[in-house]
Amino acid sequence: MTVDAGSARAHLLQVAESDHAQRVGTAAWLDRELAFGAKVFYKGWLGDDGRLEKHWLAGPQASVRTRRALETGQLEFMDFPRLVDLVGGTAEGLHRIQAAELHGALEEGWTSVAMTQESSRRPLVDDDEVAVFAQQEGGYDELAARFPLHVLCQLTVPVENAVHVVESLGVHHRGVVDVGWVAHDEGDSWRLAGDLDAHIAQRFGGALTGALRRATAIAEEGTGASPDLHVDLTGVGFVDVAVAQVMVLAARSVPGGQHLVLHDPPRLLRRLLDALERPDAIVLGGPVTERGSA
Amino acid sequence: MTTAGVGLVHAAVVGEDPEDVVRLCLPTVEAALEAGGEVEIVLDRRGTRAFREVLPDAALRLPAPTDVVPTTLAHRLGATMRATRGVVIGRSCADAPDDDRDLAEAALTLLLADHPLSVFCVYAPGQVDLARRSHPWVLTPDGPVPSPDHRPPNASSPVPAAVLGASVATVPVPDGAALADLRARFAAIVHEAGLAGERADAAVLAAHEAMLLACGADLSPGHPPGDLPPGAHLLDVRRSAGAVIAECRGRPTAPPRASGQDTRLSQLAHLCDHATVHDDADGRTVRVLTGTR
Repeated sequence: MTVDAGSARAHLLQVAESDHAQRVGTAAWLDRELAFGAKVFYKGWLGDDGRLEKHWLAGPQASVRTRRALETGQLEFMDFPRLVDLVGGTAEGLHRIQAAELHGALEEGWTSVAMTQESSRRPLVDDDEVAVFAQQEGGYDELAARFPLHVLCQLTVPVENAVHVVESLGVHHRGVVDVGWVAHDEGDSWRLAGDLDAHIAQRFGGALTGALRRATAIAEEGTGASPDLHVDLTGVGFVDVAVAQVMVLAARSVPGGQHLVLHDPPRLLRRLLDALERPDAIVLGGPVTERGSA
Repeated sequence: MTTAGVGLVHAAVVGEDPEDVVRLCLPTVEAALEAGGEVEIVLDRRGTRAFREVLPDAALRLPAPTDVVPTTLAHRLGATMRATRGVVIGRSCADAPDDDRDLAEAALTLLLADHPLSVFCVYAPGQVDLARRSHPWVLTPDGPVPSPDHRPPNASSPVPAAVLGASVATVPVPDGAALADLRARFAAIVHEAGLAGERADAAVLAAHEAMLLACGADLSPGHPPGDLPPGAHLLDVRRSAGAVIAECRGRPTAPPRASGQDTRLSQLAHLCDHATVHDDADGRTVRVLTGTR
C-alpha cells in the first residue's frame, strides 16, 4: 500500500499488511507534514539496543527531509517503553503527554503539529482495555478539533491480534486508509471509496460497527439528530458477498429505529442484499446530495 | 523429439491417395505387428483395400466403415478402438465442422493419453493446416514428428481448448490481497469480449466469488466473513466464440460440504449463466461461464 491521503485529515488510521507497506505510507505522510512546517512527534519501537540510528526513520527508507528533521529537532522520536512509563497505562496519562507536546510546540512557534505512532501491539484482551484504547484515541480527536493538529495512527495488521484490528477500525472509522479502500466522516454522511471485498471484510465490519455506534451515541446526546447512518457509496466500485453479508449482519444488530442508509450503491449490491434477505434496517437510496430519495 | 517412451501418438496423416497413406503408415504398422500389437483400420473400401494389398496375410482388424458423428467419438472409442496397444488408422473427423472436429480430436488426445497406442487420422492434402492444428503429431516419411501448429491443453488445466475455449490468461492468486488483480484482469477480458454494464459487473463478481469458493473461504451466512486463505490458487480465463469462462482452482482446507448445505453455488449461478464445482484429490475447481452473444 502506498498512502498519501490527499488533503490532510486531522486523525487518520493507516492500515498496512506489512512493515514495508506501513513505512512507505508513513514516510509519505511525514514528508508532507515536515514540508508544510509542522513539528512532528513520532512514537515507535526501537530495537533491543534502543538506538534510533537503527530505526527506519534514520535510514534510507525515510526521506532526506525526515532524516534532517531528526537532526534539527523538527521531528522528535519517543520509544514506546518510555511512553508507557510516562503514561502509566491510563488514558489520562496519554492525554497529558499529548497536550504537553502540542502546547509546547505551539509555544515554541511551530504553526502546526503532527503526531504519529506505530502499531502499539496491545492485545486488547477485554472490554476495559478496549474502552481505555477508545478514550486514548478520543483524546487526539478533542485536541485536533481545537488546535492545528494532524494525527496518523499506524495499524500494521500482522503485528496485532484480530480484536485489536477490528476495534481499531471501529475507533478510527472517521478516517481510514486501508488496502484498496478508504473511509471518511463527512459530517452528514460516512463516505467510502475503493473496492470492498472478502479480504478486508472483517476490517470493514469493524469500521461499520464503529460508525453505527457513533451515530447512536450522537442521537442519544439529545441533539435531535437521527441515529441513521448515511453511507455514501458513490466512490465504491466493487462490493462482494462477504461485505454485503457484513452489512446485513450489522443492520440486524442495530437498535430499533436506526437505519443503515446506503446512498448510490454499486449496481450489483442491491441484488446481493436481496439474495441475503435484506433486513428492513437497510435502506437503499440515491446520491447523498438527494437525501430525499432515501 | 521421438515417440519413444510416450503414451499415445495421435498423428495426422495427410496423403495424396490411399497408397500414399499406406506408405506413410507402413513402418509403424509393421513394427506394431512384429511386437504382437493389434492394428485396426477404419477406412472406406478403397482405403482398406490398399492396406490389404500391401499386407495380404497380416492380422489386420478391418471393421466395416461406418459414419461416425465426431462429437460422439468419445462414446464410440470403447466399441471401436479395442486395441489398448498397437495402431488405429481411421478417417472419422476430417470432414466434420470445425468445432466438432477440434473437440473430437482434442478428446482423443486427452482420453487416450496414457495408452501405448498410435492413432493416425487420415486427412486430405487440402486439409493440412487444420490437420496440423488439431494433432500433436504429424506422420511423415521419417515417422511421427511433433506438429508445430498444435496447441496443447493449458498446462494448468486438462480441459481441451475446444471444450471451453482457449486459455487467454492465467493469474496466480496467492492470497486475498491478490483478488483485486484477479478482478482487474478478468474485467479487462470481459470487456474485450464485448460485455458491458451490469452483465460485465456480474461476470467479474462471479469470478471473484468462484475463487473464494474454490479456496474454501468461509462465507456461511451469520458468520464473520473469511478471507481467502494463502495458497497456490490459480485463475485460468478461457474465451470461446460465445462465452468467457473463469476457471478457479484452489485447495480448500476444510472438507467440501454436502451439496444440500452449501448455498454459495446457487448464489454464484445468479451471477453468471452457468456455474460448476468439482472436487477431487487435487483440490477444487469452480467454473463460471458468462455468454457474450
